Amino acid sequence: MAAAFGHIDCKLYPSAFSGELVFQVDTTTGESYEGIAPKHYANSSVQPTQNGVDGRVKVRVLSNGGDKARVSVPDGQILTVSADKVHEI
Amino acid sequence: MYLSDVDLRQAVQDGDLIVEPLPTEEIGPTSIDLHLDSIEEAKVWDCERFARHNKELGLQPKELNAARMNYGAVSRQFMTSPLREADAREGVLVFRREDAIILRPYGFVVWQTKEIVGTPETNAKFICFINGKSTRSRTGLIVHLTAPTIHATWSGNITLEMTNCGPFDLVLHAGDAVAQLTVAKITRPPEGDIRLSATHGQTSVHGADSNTPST
Repeated sequence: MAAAFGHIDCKLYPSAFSGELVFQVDTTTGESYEGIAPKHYANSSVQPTQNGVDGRVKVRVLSNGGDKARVSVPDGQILTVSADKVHEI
Repeated sequence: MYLSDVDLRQAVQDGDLIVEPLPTEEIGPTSIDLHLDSIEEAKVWDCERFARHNKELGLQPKELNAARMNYGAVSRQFMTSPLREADAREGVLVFRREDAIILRPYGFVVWQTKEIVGTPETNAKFICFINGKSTRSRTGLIVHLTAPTIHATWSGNITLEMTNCGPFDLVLHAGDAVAQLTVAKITRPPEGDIRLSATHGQTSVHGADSNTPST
């Protein structure tokens, strides 16, 4: 089955590289995942700062049912997240 | 099946291969040269700071849980620009001299390419690979460490994990052509996430079967 594209709510931080951002996603296990993504995979209304800003990062939605969704973030990690944080395109 | 120069140009023109900016004069028979981005995009690990941080947490100062770390958090805290030569104490293996990075034997620097490279998110037809250039390799320069693949549907600046396995102090500048891109056709466009099978069933982001980020 083909995966759908979507965005997930996250915190965005600057990366060491100007073409990348660090995104922080809360998972349903209570753990937080911080990955990296080229800038064109993320968006926020303001420039990310060291304190983090609210934003979204593009994901592939692998499954979305009930309270939880499985998504693949741009660095390839697959996460289980709260479905209400996922916005399918 | 690898693409020839004719097919590489056609793929870029058709939007099936992303190489921006395209080095039009540096397309070889089966490859496209890739160049180092500005010197500000050269980064090193701040191991001293990392050791202090670990020590404060009661951990072994130099130990990094490579497969289970939260890479974004670790890199945000401990990846930094190389020291200027005047500030670099003896034994530092990577430092900046004016507009050059000096990479001493066994030094390690992470530097992105000027080019954004990859394939479209949908209907991707190709997979890309980063390779060194043979004459540079003869000096001992390694431009990637075991992660040469740019998976179909991904695009971005390529992060080169560079090390010096040769006997010289290597001098690197922004714009240097140190790597080359080869491109192969895949059997059909990926349906879902191409890496799903590798982590199917994983429930923890720190699980032992955590996925490896793209190059």
